[in-house]
Amino acid sequence: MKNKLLNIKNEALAMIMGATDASELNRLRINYLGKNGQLTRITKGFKDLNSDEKADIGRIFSEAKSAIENALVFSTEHRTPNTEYFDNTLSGKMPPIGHLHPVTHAIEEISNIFEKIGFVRVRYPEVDWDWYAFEALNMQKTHPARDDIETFFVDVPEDKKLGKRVLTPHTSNGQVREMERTKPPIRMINIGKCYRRQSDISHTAMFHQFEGLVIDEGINITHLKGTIDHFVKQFFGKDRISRLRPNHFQFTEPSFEVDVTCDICLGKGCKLCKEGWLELGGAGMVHPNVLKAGKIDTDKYTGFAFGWGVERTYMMKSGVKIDDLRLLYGNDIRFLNQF
Amino acid sequence: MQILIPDSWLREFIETDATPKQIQTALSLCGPSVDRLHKKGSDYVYDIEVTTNRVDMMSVIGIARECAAILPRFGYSAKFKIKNLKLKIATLDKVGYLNVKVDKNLCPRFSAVLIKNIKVGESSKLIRERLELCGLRSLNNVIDISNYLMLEMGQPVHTFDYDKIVAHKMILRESKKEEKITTLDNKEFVLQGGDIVIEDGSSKLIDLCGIMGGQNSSVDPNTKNVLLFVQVYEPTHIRKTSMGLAHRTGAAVLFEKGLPTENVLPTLEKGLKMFGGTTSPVLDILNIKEPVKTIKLGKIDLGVEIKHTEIVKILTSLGFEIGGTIVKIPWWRKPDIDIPEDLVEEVARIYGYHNLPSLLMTGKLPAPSYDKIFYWESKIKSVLSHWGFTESYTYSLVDKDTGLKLKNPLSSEWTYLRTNLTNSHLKIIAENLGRVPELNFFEIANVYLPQEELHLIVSSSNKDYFRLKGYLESLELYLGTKIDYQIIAHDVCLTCEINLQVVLKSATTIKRFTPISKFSPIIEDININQAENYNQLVNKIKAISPLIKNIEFIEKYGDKLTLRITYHDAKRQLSNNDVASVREILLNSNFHKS
Repeated sequence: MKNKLLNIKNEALAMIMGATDASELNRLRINYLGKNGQLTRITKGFKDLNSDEKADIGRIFSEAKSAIENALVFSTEHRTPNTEYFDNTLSGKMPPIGHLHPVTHAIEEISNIFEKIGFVRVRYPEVDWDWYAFEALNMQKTHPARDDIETFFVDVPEDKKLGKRVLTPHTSNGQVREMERTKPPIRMINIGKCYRRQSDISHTAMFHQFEGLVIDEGINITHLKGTIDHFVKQFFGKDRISRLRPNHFQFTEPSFEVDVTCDICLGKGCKLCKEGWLELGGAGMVHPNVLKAGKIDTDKYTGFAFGWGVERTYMMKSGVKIDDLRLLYGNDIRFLNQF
Repeated sequence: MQILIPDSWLREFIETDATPKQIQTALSLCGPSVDRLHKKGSDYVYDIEVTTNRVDMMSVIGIARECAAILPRFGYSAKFKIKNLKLKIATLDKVGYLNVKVDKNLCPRFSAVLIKNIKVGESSKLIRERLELCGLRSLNNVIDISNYLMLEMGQPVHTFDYDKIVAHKMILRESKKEEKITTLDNKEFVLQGGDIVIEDGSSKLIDLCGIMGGQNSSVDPNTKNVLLFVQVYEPTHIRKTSMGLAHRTGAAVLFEKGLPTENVLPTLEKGLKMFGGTTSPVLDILNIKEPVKTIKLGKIDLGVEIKHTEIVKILTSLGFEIGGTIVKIPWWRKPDIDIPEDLVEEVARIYGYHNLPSLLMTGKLPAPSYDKIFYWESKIKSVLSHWGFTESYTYSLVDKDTGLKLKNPLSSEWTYLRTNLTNSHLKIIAENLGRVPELNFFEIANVYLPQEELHLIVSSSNKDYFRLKGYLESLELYLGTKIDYQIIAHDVCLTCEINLQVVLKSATTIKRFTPISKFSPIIEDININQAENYNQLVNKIKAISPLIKNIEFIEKYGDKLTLRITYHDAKRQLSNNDVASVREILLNSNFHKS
């Protein structure tokens, strides 16, 4: 009986696959599954089986039945009637397609690159204390970033120890917070929202930065160079190179400006760049006062840090020339659907 | 700070075989950044960005000093041509032609000299051309000289018409509140008090020190006698006044950085040389002791071996004097060199960052993060975008809300930190309506309560409640956890805002495997009258028998629900008889009403 069942199943499947139109499929359905169909008839022999056999045959029977049913359903739905002209050049039925924001595309790519070389991704407050945003970063009280022309302040009372509440103007507020969270070795990549009091075609009041911080024994400029080179090759591609130029920031010493060769002229010099180079952002060796603010032993440890704009870095890569950065946060669906 | 330096002027102080282009490249790599090089007639102009800490480079001589240290590293000859700075002029701390009273705390060095019988007229061609290449307009020989001195020496200079200072008296003091002064450019300022000013002894202010001179004492075409005036001021006063009055002059930008007093007399001497005329004795009041600044040379780890002789050579080329491990700072670098790391920077940049190798860190890896929040954020974004939702990034700042308020908003549109994402999405849905047939947005962002809380919002202009609910139920399956959500119907859309911080605590990547049964289930659709909500109904049905493994909602018609019931037993094959009794209870229309 077992063999018979299997034979019926195989025969039925072959016939169904070979069927070319709906009426033939219907005939097959009656032939196998109808009241007097082959499968139905075989059940009449079940009463002669002992209980072990019954269980076994019963299982094979239900498998055969559902296989035939499924094949019939599939063929009925998918077999193209050979009487109609089949035009395979008609558009397919696409699944719904959504879009990730360009900033998300950039953040994911950036964090992947750094995570592969051991950086740990973190996120720190966007509304933070003056201490983390400025004071601990060795920025003197008179630094322009600390006045209310450049930075947003929150209308709440000052904290005696930590000072005013600010919308952090950079991700560097994560530096001392990371030193408080964990001990060296530190390899941090902090990506977050930042705010500055400016809004024009190349600035938005809200933007994103990514901040790298490495602290360990024996860290020097060569490691900063290596990390930046690695990122530049991975993110911008093999044809682009980076260079460091002297610069000045309060929280690093020495400080650098990092340049990447222009994507248009590849370093030869053109109208869109400064003699072949585009400024990526600032970097430097962590200032000893910053390490001290994070209670790191400056005799034992040194470190480097960099903090760059996500939007700016993405624009420099992609060849997507968005002429007005404010479009990024305008959320026009016709803009978002292009990414 | 941006400065324009003509090549010909630079070469007055540096003798080199490097071309302007070569100078540009070398300086940019090791010193100040030469953003652009402009060809102007037979000359070139360097457009240089000087970092704010290096006020010593805000001059032709300052850039020449850098060239002298940097160019030889690139194989070019470079000789700094400035003569010995030994002064030839004699000075007095009291002079007969000017009665002076100076507040010592406001003015570390006060020097002046009376130059008689000058003739106000046009400057020489050289001076006019150089000023114009630096972006300044030539006015007359007196004013041009003061501008020329500032550009060449990096020390601001002022000139008074001596005869307009009626009593030949000067009192340098802090201003009082409400005092008024009209500056050279004809702008009248009402002072806040605490600004450095000079009074002529009759309560009349004649100079807004460090910012701009007073109109009432300025040089004009009829001026005969000029008071050449070279000072150093206390920097924080200057910055406060300049920012407070929004009067940012070239002089203020230099003074507010804190200029060294050592540059005063060389500038004055050069001025005397340029003026000619008859000179009187030089007045010079030094109110501070000029300190000798030294720093101990620390460890210099550039990742490559640099010999001590090389370090000495580099530092010497920049004007530092080294005795053992003690480094004496040249006067022009006193404002920016404070700690051993500053010396490391000097050595490193002149050695050349481009000459250092690129290495990755070795050593121990940091402790990994067990926080899966970024993983889930990325997964949620991915799955929602694949389901047809488009990600938005809306501003965290809004016009109205109940939470944190900014003290200094940029516009009324951005005054509060938002406490929810829903209002932002109502706005973008309204703005985008009609642009595409259907809008489906999502966003993950912080709200501020005032503590930061990460939220997810999904919003749709398709008002089919069960469609949006279906997405959220699928998301629950995806995250392996329940989400406490509420879908809100608005006029034109549905929104659902979720506290991700709570949800992600229980999200899991762990999947539980159940062996696939050898026995087939029995599946059948039944119609049932609905007398309570679906959740309650499902619980009741499940309670009837352990054989009921799954209940699926198929459709609703009036009060009737079609449900697909799956009966299964992992240990044996169910027959119709096994389920008949269960079915009977189910179909008894009274079971769920009891």
